[in-house]
Amino acid sequence: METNDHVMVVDDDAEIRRLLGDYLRKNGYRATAVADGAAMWAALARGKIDLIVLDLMLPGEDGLSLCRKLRSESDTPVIMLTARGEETDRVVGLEMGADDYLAKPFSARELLARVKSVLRRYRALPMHLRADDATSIRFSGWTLDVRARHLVSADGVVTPLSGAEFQLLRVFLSHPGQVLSRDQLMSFAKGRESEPFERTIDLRVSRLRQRLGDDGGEPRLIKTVRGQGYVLAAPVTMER
Amino acid sequence: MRFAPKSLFGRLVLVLLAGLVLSQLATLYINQTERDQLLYRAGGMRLAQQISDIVKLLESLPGPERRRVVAVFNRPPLAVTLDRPALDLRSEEEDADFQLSIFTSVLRYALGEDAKIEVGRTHRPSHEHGERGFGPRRRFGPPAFTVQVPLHDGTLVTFDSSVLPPVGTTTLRLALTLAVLLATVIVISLVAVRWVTGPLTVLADAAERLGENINRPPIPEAGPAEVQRAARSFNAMQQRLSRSIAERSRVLTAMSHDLKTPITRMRLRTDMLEDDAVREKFDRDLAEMEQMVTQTLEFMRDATDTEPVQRVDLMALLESLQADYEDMGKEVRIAGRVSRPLGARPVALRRCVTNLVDNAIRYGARATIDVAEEADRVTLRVLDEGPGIPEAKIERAFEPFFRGEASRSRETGGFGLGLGIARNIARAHGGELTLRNRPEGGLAAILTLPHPA
Repeated sequence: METNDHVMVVDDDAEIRRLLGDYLRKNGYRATAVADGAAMWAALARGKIDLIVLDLMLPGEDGLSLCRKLRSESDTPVIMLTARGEETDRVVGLEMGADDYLAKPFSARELLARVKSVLRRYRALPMHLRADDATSIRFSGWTLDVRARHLVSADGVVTPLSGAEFQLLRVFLSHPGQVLSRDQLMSFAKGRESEPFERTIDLRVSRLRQRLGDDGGEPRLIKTVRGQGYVLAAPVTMER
Repeated sequence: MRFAPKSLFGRLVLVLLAGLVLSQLATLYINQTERDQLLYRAGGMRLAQQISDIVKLLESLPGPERRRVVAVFNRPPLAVTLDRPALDLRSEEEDADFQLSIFTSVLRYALGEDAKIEVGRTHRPSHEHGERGFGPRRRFGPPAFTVQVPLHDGTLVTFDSSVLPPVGTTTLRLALTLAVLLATVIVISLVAVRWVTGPLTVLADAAERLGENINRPPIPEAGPAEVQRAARSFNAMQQRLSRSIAERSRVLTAMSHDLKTPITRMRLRTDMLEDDAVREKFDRDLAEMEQMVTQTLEFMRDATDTEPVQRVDLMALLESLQADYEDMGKEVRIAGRVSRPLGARPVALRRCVTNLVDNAIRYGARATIDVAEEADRVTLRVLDEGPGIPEAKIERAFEPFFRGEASRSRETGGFGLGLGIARNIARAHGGELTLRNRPEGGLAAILTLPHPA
């Protein structure tokens, strides 16, 4: 609880603003709660903000366009709050540069866990789960359908992915040719629903290789770099 | 061809055929009657003339000459003999014979009023008549009589007019004519019925498919006036239905959506509570409300889903589900394999199987997915080790927010909309979802999907 990270909550519902602010402060964060985009920019100008919790539906400029603007000028991680909770909205939120999303209704504890994990991830590997507005990503004959969260093979067969596999693949696809350490991968690969059941990163990678038809004995797509981690050895094309 | 009188086609053919046969028979009767009477008059007159000529000739000849002459005239259709004894040709029945009396009077006229002629019906085997066909011919056929005329010297001349050999086979011709007419009527009624009932078939198909997609394009308002009217009414009905459903969906969606903010507030407030026991109770209620809201939204969204059908690696889908549950600390086992990709909507299908596995885990701690690939379909059995559902209530489990037993649903929150959504998805794929209690205990959700080779 010795954290003093500064979290800003942007939500037009006064009660939610107050409750989230109280809860974050109770858990050792500095919290600022504002009602709309204008107030958000003002608060950002006043001082350092470590993380922004941004409601999708806002009066005036909505959360998505705020997030896009925010992303063009800073790296501050964003957790998007969405009331719709539909897959497309989630993905759109991520494409706009949000680091994570949380569907309403959520509990304060859930939000706290996300805040912690996003901050940890941000510090381990400063990147956002963003794919430059891509709706599909091509690599080595495969196409990742970002909206539907599944792979499509060269001959058009859909290969569904588990949540963890999808997350891991997106990390690799965001950093092609870059060696990623187990710690860096781990920060992304946490089970979304329940933190305690963490699997070793090696097992997740071998699962993903199996999905991709990548031979575990002599993998050519996701290669092991001894003592350092893993690297995606394939060119990646983003498509709208 | 459907000759069953149940179909409109069958009925129309039946009516047309009956009409045709009746009118044919009537025409035939009238024609035949007139023809036979004509034939009779001509034939009878000629026969009487011939008989009187022969009688007159024989009268003028001496005895021996007569035999020679008789031999000359004794040719079909008239047999002439001199040796027959007097026959008792009159009978009571024949007295009333109209034909006979006409013939007799014609003969008397030819031979002279005072001639002592005896006229009677020739008795023949009936098949000769039968061959010639119908009833009317028997009465009015060419005359077949036996006539005995005594000459002046007492010699009795006997004439036997026989029936001429049939000219052509009238029966065959008749049958042929009827067959041609019959064929024509069938072909014409086929065309007519298709023409008339085609739009009806379109209407029936449309009504059937309305169940799958309420927003299907309107049917063409073509065909006969009555069918056009029916099509118009049908389209109007579909529009009203669609509007009404859309309206209700909007209300339900907006309501569910707007409930999310108050539920979020309550959750946040609950998190502030110090008393853990109270907080847990609130949490459970809120979780239940949240489930209703999200499932309602999912259910509403389902109806308008337009995900394209793709070839899906079903095993990868099941294994990825298994991995997700494993990450949540839940056990899902997979048995069996599918070798070919399955034509399906991947996101919808995943939601369908997820709902079934969720139920299995909620009631039976863990789930087993049993996959079987057959020639034309794939069967997925999601098995649990829970208490099952009482047989009588098994179909009601698909109803929205159905609760099996009050005691159990308090702990588990009931089935919600999960099974209904799963069944909708199965049916949208042309498949089916059923529930069955397993003999060894627990529930089996059986999902069949078409999987043509």
